[in-house]
Amino acid sequence: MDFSIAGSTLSSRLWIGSALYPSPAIMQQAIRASGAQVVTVALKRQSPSRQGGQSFWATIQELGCHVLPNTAGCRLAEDAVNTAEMSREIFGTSWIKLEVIGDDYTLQPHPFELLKAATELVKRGFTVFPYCTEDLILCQKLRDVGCPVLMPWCAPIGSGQGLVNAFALKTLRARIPDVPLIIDAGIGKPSHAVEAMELGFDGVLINSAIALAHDPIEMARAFSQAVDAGRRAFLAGTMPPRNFAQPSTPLLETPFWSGKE
Amino acid sequence: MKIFLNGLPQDFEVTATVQDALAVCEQAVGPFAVALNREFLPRSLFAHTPLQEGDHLDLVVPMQGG
Repeated sequence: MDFSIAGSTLSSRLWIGSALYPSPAIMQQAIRASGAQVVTVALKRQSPSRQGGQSFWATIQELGCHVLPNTAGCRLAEDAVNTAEMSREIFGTSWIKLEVIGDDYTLQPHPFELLKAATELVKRGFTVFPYCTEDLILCQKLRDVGCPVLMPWCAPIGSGQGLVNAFALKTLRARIPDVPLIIDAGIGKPSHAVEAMELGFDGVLINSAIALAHDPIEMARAFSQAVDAGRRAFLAGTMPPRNFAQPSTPLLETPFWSGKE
Repeated sequence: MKIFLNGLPQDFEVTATVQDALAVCEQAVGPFAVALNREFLPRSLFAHTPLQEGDHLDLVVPMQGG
């Protein structure tokens, strides 16, 4: 079930974050177990007393995955643009997961700064993957300025709440059928990923739900299977729900069928 | 003159460039990028960018992210 995204062909629809794992070794094993081919990373100001960026980057490079740097921590479009430029120089990729936060409590994306930053980054030749809300108009505007992928949340980052606004997500999928949609943030367990994939989303990005599991490596496998199951279910087409029972066994001619209602 | 290197004040010659400052900076190894006064500075400009009193020079490196 390969799919093409921003010019790259991927066989896994599960994308994975690199933060919050108990150790770098477990991070690496979990990413391998997930089968993910896209891994998110970030930038930090180098502390004079601590090194570490080099060893982390070496660990990520060993995985051979596509690297998707983010602009975490930015609240203004200008800061996000500068962070993206630094990411492109360090990681050698024009891919950028654009995060511009507007509220510290919910970590909700700031729609206006996000759109402003996306517009500028597209002009500068970046391939912009915006982390956004499920707001339809915002998503349409981000598509219109040239974002080839959209990454709506389904709940606040790290909340694990799942698809809290499934109606809006369904609407988004229906109204934007021709741009890949990757659910980013809010998924807490594999069943949430199944639900998102059954709705027709193109993939999910998971970090906390894997990294904070009791066994991140096993949870990575669980998410891999969930994403695959959800995608297959979407392609197969789920049956429409009914308000009344419908026997699965044909009752006509069964031994004690009364024929009465 | 005094500039702020990753937030900490350090003294440099008044003729120092960004490249001069990075040459004595232990953190400037491996993959890193630079922002001068919060603006990205491409590597190709390090040698041609003079520092000025009170400048903020920040080095960023890869880290874990979601």
